[in-house]
Parts: sequence; C-alpha cells; structure tokens
Amino acid sequence: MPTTSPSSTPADGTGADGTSSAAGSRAADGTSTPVLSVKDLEVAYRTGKDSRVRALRGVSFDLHPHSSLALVGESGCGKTTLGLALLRLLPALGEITGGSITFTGDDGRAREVTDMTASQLRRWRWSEAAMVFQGAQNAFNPVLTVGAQMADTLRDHAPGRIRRKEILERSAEVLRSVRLEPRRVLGSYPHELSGGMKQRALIATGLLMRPRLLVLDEPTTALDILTQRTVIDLLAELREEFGFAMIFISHDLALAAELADRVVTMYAGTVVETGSTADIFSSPRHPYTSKLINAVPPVRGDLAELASIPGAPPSLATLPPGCAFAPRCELATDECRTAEPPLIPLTERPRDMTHAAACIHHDQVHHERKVIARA
Amino acid sequence: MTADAATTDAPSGAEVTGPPQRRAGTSLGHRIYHSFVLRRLLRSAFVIWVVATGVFLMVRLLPGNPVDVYINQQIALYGKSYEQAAAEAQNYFRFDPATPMWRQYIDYLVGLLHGDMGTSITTPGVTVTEKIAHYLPWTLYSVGLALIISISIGLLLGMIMAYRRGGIIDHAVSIIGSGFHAIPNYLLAILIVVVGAVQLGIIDYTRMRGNHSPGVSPELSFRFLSDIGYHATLPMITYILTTVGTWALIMKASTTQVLGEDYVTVARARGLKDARIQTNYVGRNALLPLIAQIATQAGFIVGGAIFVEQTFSYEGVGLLLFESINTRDYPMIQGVLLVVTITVVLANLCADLVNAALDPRIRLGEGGAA
Repeated sequence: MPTTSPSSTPADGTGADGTSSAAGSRAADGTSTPVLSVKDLEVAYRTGKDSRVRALRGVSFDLHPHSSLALVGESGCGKTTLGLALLRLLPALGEITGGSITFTGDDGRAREVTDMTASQLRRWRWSEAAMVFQGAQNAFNPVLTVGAQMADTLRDHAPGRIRRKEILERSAEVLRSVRLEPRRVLGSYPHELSGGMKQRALIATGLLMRPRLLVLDEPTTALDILTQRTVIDLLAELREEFGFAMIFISHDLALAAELADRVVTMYAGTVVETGSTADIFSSPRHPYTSKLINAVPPVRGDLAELASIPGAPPSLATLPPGCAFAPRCELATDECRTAEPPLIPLTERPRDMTHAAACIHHDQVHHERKVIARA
Repeated sequence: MTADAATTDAPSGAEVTGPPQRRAGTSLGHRIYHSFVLRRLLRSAFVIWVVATGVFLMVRLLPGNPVDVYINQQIALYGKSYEQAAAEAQNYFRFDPATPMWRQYIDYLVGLLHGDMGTSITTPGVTVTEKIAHYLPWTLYSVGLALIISISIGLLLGMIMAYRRGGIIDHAVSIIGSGFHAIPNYLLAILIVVVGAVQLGIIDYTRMRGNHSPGVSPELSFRFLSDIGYHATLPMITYILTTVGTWALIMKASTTQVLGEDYVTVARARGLKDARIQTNYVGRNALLPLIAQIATQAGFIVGGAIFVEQTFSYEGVGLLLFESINTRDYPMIQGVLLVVTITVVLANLCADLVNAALDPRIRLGEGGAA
C-alpha cells in the first residue's frame, strides 16, 4: 500500500509543519502530516432507481504540504469526479459511498471532510481548500463584475464585517500576483476579459483566502498554447509564493511532468500507478501509464512513434472481473482477467513517493525512455 | 486631412459640405443614427402608427356601422319601424357613415397628434379619453394586482420546484399548474359562477359582481378599499389561477438551467452563503429571460379580459371594449386598442432598459452611443 507513508507520526509532523516556511520545504524530511489524506474513497452515481455506477473505486493517496500531485488519465477515468469529491461538490446524482478524506489545516487539527455539515463545509471551502475549474469561461457569474465576485467571497468568509478598503486591497494583491492589472480587472464583467485573463482571474480568486490546498481541474485545456505556457509558469511561481499544496488534474502528461512532484495514474475509477514524477516518467511500471506516455508527442524523434492506445476505457457500469485494463493490454494473461491486482509497492521512497503499480506483470513493462516536454 | 476624409463615413455626412464641417456633421449624424434610445423611440412610434392604422381599417370592416346597429336594435327591442328608428338615429348621432374613409382617417390621425382620440359615437358628448379614464383604473387595479400576485407566487414556486426537482411541490404544481393553464380564463370564470355560486351556493355572486357596492363612493377609506377588494376577488382569482402555473413552470425551467451553469458550482465551491447564491447568482440570471415575457403582460393589464369582466359584470376596459364592439363605436374601439398598443410598446421599451440594467452583456451593445 502506497499510503503507508511515514506520515504516521503526527506529533512531530504538526510541529515541523507549523514552522515550515512557504517556499522550498517540499524536499523536506518526510515527517510532515499530509494536508490531505484520501483513503479507499468510493464514489457512485445513481443511474436509475436502484442502479448505481461506481465512478471511484478505492482511491487512496496522501498529499503533503507544499507538494504537488498530478492526476492523469483518459477522459472518463474519474479524475474530475475525484476532484469534485474532494471538495464535496459532486452533482446531485453523485454520492460518496465509502472511504475517508482527511484534511489537516494550518492549526494541525485533522478534520474529516466526508463528515462535515453543510455550514462547516461552506466555511472550509475556499478558505482552506480552493478549486480552479475546467473551462474558466463560465466560472464567473456573467452579471456581476469580477471585483464584486471576489468581494462576495471575502465577505462570506470574513468572521465579521469586512471593510471595503480591505476587500479592495486583498483583491488587488492576488490579481497583481497573477499579473493582472487590478484597476482594470476588478471593474470588468467576465465577458470583457479574454479567456486567459479569466483563467488567471479565477486562479487569483482561488488564492484570495490563501488556501492550504488548491485543486486545479484541467486549468489549461481551453487556452491556446502561449496562454497555457503563461498559466503554467504562473502556477509554479504562485506555489513558491503562496505555499499551497496542489492537486493537478490533467490528461496532459507533459504538463504533469513539469508541475508535479508526484503522479497518480487513474484508470476506470481506480489508481493504477503512483510514484514520483521522475520514477513514473523514466520507468513506468503499469502498461497503461507506459502507453499514456508513449501517446505524448516527443520533442525529438519521429512523430510516427506516436502510439495511440487501442480500444476505449471500459464502461464503469460493466467492468470486467479482473484488471480493468486487461482488454486493452498485450501483457494480459488469464490471471489478469480473474482478479483485480492491488497496488504493488516497487521502490520505497520517503514521503509517500513510493513507486507502486497495480499490475502483476509490472516487471515486463519495458519503457523506451524518451524526452518529453512541452513545445 | 485626406486620410481623415477618407475614413469618415460618406452616407451620413453627405448633407454637409466642406471637409472640416463634414467631419463634425458625420459624428453628429452618426451619433443620432447610433443612438440606442432614439432609434427605439422612432421604432416605437412607427409600430404605434401601424397598429392605429390597422385598427382603423379593421374596425370599419366589421359588418354594419354604428347607425345601422342602432337602427336594428331599436327595431328588434322596441318594435319601431325602420323610418322611425332612422329618424331617431339621425337626431341621436353626430356621426355620418357616408363620410369618405380617407376623410375619417385624416381626422383621426390629426386628432391623435393633438392627443385627442375623438368622441364616443354612441354616447355623444363624452370623449373617448374620459370614458377610458373612467374604466381603466378598475382594470389596472384588478388585473395589475392579480398579475403581481401571480408572478410573485409563480416565480417563487418555480424556484422551489427547480431546487427540489422531483419533490412533492414540483409534481403538484406541474400537474395543477398546467391543468389550470389549459383552461381559458373565461371558462374558469363561468365555472366559478356555475359551480361556486349556482350549484354549491358558497359564493354570493349577486353581491360580489360589479366594481363596488351601491352607495360606496371612491375615497381613501378602509370601507371603500375593502369593498373594492371584495368585488375584485372573483376576477382576480380567475386571473391568478390561470396564470400562476405558467409562471412557475417557466421559472422552473429557467432556474434549472442556471443551476447547471458552471458559475453556480464555482460559487458553491467558493463557500458563498446559500442566500447569496440563490439571489445574486441563480435568481438574477434565471429572471433575465423572463423580463420580456413579463413585459408582454402589460397589454393585459390595460386591456383587461373581455369575457372575465363581462361574466363578473366588472366594469373595466375589457367590458368597455366589448360594448364598443357591439355598438360599433369606432372611436371607442380605436381608443382602447391604441391605449393597449402604446402600453405594450412602452412596456417592451422598459423591459429593454431593465434588461440592460441587469445584464451587462446587453449594456455593451449600446456602448457606441456614448
């Protein structure tokens, strides 16, 4: 189990964490309490009166302060569901059916997100865990100015009344840190901003309360390549400046390679491989991860090497009995089709960086090392 | 200079000569041409003229004319001879059906430009304006109040239905609301009278009919206000029941759509208070598409419901229109329909302005005017 991280020493963990500075502590000793600890999380969507589809099946991972984690996988593998479930924002038909999400705040107090009441949840959201959504184009209310929406956020989280001056100062500060001009953006309506500006304004809104955790769901998908670049550079900088832990949901592996310390590969609602970014990209141990990496255009070399993965992810309603990836896998044997393999720890590393893969043939996954990076 | 002249717009600047003035003339012409409000006003005036003309012509297409109708009535009701009735009509009416149509039309338009809608044919000496001013307050009161109640309840129900889709309120209002929506208001009025008053006897129809009880005069007193409230109850119940379900269903659809928008999920993620999300984020956006629909109801407020007012003997504009059509009182019909037209046009103008105030995306469209 990869989640048996050295985090089981909460006493000194809290102490170390409380005093750690914002920047550069992520390569730390491995004694800190995770900001977020997800254990055996199960999410199901109701599809009919008595029928359900299991969208997440036993997802576990830890996220340490100031670290960043990339959730990668094809469309429909449960990445976004996981992101929404973390903030308890699942649509009406979705439901957390098992497992736990434990959040540890700055005060070192661990809280169970799945047990929070509506009002606890409301106060916890954004002040401690914020989320930047896929497609920022619609993330702002079209009839209110960006400034008014930032003010709403501050007002509803302030313990008492908050002065206009303070609202303006705090809004302007985060806007400046995403390199937007506060005077222009605060008075603008969402439709008056470009896509990239909206995305950055949304990130700025996310930073408004200085959360400990920032979940980013495909933050660059709707943007052109140059704007993407700007946003990625910005995120790396902001993480240094604000010191939040980051979960980065993306199907773009190059992006993951650049921004994340750790990668979690998801397939059919479950984690199939986890490990440090370096381990995953140099020697993936699950055939699915390996194929995902091969599907990214290389910087050097022949485009003909680009390999798509034949077939499509299985329907979550009718999962095969064994490994969910078996029907698309050339390494699959009869053993794969009978029982679903657990995550097998491969290389022990500190601070939850242990490389693990849910594949019984992990030693047969040969990966041709190649350089991938963003254009 | 040449570059400037080349970039100025030729068509609107054509009336001014000389390059320097031409530039100023263009911007002024442009400004008038592009003025949102001015263009809307001109268009409104055009619509009113078209409707006034159409009504003028169509009224005269009705079989018979005021004099004929009067003569036939006298013959049928009092058994007078044609000659006798015709002679009476001659004395009674100041209207000559033989006047050429174009003459009548010119007189009508000229009168309108002076704010004069003419004189009633069947009640000589009373102007159309006076008569409308006498009937209109009753319709404004009964229909206006009923609509305010109906829209408020409807929008509220619609929002509740959207938040609790599949709940009891949702199902009940959907079924009852669409049922009542399918019943025309005059039929419901008749049902109220037949079932409520005649068969069950729970409604004192003979006392409730009319605008107010005899002997009660308009004044600002509790007695008068409660009396007109009592008399307006039946028509108002009719209006509310037949429209409230529709408003609820429209609002439900609109709210449901807004609830699915990303910005609502983001607002929840931002930990905003529920009350704020429901008003500023959901309510305001759900209401936008409904404003135009609410504006179209303005015609109903001043036009009244002909058959409902007739059924309850409620002396409002609807009843006035009904009687005017029966007696072919041309200026009266024209007057009532003109008032309805002007109100609808003005209400739409207001709806545009309200929309612009609530939705910044529309405001942008007129930015060129400033």
